[in-house]
Amino acid sequence: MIFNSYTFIAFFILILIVHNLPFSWKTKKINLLLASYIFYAAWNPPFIILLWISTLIDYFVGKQLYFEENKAKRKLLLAASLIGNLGMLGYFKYGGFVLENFVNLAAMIGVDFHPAQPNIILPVGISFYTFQTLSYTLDMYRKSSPPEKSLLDFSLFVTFLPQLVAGPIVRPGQLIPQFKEPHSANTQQLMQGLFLLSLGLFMKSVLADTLLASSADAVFAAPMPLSAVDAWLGVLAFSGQIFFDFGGYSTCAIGIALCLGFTLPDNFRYPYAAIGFSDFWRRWHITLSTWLRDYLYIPLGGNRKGEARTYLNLMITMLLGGLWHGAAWTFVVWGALHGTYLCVEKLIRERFVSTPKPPEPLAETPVVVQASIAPTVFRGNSFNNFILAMFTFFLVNVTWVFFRATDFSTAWRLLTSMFGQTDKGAALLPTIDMIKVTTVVTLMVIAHWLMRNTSVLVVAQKMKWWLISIVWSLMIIGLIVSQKSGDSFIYFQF
Amino acid sequence: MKTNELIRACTLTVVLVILCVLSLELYWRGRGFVPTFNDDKVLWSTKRKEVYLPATDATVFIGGSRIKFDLDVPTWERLTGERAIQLAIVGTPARLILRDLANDKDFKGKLIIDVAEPQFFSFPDSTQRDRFALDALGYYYDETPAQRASASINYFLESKLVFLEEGKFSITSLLNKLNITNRLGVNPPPYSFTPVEFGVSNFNRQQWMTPMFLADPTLQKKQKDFWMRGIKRASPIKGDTLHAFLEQTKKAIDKIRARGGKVVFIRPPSDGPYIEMENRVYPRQKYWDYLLEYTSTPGIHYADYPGTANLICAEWSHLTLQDAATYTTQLVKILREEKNWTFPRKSAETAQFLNP
Repeated sequence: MIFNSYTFIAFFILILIVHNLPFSWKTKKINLLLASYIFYAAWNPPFIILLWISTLIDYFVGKQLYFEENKAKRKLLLAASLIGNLGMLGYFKYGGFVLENFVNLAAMIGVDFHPAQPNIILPVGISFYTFQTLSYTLDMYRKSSPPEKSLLDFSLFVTFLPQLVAGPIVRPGQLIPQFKEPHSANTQQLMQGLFLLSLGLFMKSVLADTLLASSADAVFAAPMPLSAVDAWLGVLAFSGQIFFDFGGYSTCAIGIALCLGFTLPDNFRYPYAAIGFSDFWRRWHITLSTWLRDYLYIPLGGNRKGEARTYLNLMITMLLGGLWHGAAWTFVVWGALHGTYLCVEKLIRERFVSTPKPPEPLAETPVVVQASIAPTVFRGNSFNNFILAMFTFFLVNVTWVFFRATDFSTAWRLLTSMFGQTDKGAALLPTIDMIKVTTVVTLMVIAHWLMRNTSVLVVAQKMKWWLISIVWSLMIIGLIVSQKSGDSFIYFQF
Repeated sequence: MKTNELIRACTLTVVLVILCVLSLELYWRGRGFVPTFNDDKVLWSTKRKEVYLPATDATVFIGGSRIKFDLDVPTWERLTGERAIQLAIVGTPARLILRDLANDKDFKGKLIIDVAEPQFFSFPDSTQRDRFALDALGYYYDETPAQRASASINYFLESKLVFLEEGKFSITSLLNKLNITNRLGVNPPPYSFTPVEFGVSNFNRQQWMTPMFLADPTLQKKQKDFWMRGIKRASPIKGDTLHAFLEQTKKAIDKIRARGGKVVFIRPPSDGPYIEMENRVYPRQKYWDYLLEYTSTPGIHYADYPGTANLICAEWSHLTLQDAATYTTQLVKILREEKNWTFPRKSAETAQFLNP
């Protein structure tokens, strides 16, 4: 079930009603758990078994891990959990990729190997809930928090419907404590939640799907070299599309949770206003970047084992982060580019910038402040910062080429077109699409810059009630007249 | 912001949205539109599920827009007592849908294939030319339970509200119809030149031209101008490509017949520069006649029968709703009397109606 569908709207109204009936807190949690299973099963019912397996493995192994003192047994238990979780992820997400590369490798050494083509369907959201349950297991292994006693609360932590299939990736400590006490939204939370849900749907259905998707799709599907204008507009369209799509999902998730009385962490903080790449990763997919930092970068040694190891650890983290997004070498290159940018930025900061100022306090949500893999780098006056932000945006767009292209030849064709390295690049986009992309992307960048140190709810708090109403109405009317219901969110495939 | 201000904001939002939706609905109704259905992959998929009805209960139609306009479903169902399952897709060759039905071992029914030469004779598969068919098939095979539920809600809403037809009244469709000049060599968005009044669709996927379109020569000229673009670009497949196409078509038809199914080709009417181009670029002997011969399949060409030869297409390519009823009546008659198709559910009644 996806948020931008009639089914979900009807389902959500039902959940809200049931959640506010005078049941016991335990009954309400059971209702939420059942609703979450129905929400997930509405895609492909058999895959719900994977959720149950993941839940049971981590619940029981986690408990054993915490209380077991024998080091060898602890490692064995950890291995069992990792094999269980990463095994499922590996089979469903990377099975075909591994086989394809094995065949190519065999061909390179002269072995003609033709295995049966695997027909593996990727369960929606498997990367997200696998990382979420892994964080619990790893916390148990480190004994950084006590194990969860209630199977119901733990199951709800794994399955909580707003963030089940595309995040935010929530840590046990952020969600499980909320299940301990009765939660239901007060009027203010309900209104704010509905506003965020409307905003998220507007971002997804109107901005991403209606105004940007067709241009990005056309440019990335073009089999011929394009003019620089068309190539850039296609990449910029994708840049906007992926933000509005994924940011829209996170905004919906946060809004839905708020309507039920729960708080989820921020996942995006106006990333296209980022000054440098450490700042970008403090603003883009925050819950993934913090996960990678805490469970991969730091365990690898972080910056504690010398300069060379720090750079190596950064690269490994970003390469695996790239592979997390998809089973293709283009995603690895995307991660490698981000890793390189981060390394170069760190190098410049350490060699040429004498006293970097500490990060600006990015509002209330502590996760944002914790988010970076490396700290903030450049500071200066507003104009310099804007120029640096635009340079960062430019480099981010180059990475999106590898993220969106289905293969390297497409990526290369597009890059050569973008940088004017083709003789006769074709004109592709109709004028109306050029106008749509230019307008939306320009407004997006301006909005990101103006909002970079605040949040939607903080701004909304300061607005007159009638102005909020006009903005809210325009978003809902935009949703109704765009009529773009039913298109899946891009991040579901990850 | 205080709670009571939030409640005020929410209340005003609801009022503004309702007012806007009402205004929009009244505007389109005021222009003569009535609630119709968005002819998209979801509706196609709903109809695709019906092909497993016994051959005595239904006939499946595939092809392009001509059969969608020219087959009057109520007339067909009244005369045959059978369902007409309309699987034709506007602007799309029948090739992929035919192959899909041929590869579906559970499809054993009756199949009528619409032949509009420029669309029908196309080979090989193309992600651009076949995009609507690929979309429809992809959705049909991957449809989730949630999507099925959403479709049901959507059908209910579409049956009540005019402005909910995405293909005509969504932001994208309306923006695409703005008359903005494109750069040299750039193709305009699909159907950007087609007036919104041109064709509407019902739940059976039958299309018809609206009274507004039929009453307005300017709109008809606009549509004819759009057709002229395609007419000028017509480029037929020939030689090995044609043979490869015919071979693939024959194999597909043979598969269906081997399971007990029946297949007939039909060539609906066209007019003006369209028929001139079709006769010139796709000479009947080399295409239509050769198709029937190569695939050993019966065919019904509109020009061979007095009851259909003189039907006029309002914009050169499609029949009006009234003429669609006439064409459908003739089609049933020819199938029954000449092609030995039986319609057991309405046999006696139909015979009496067709030959009073």
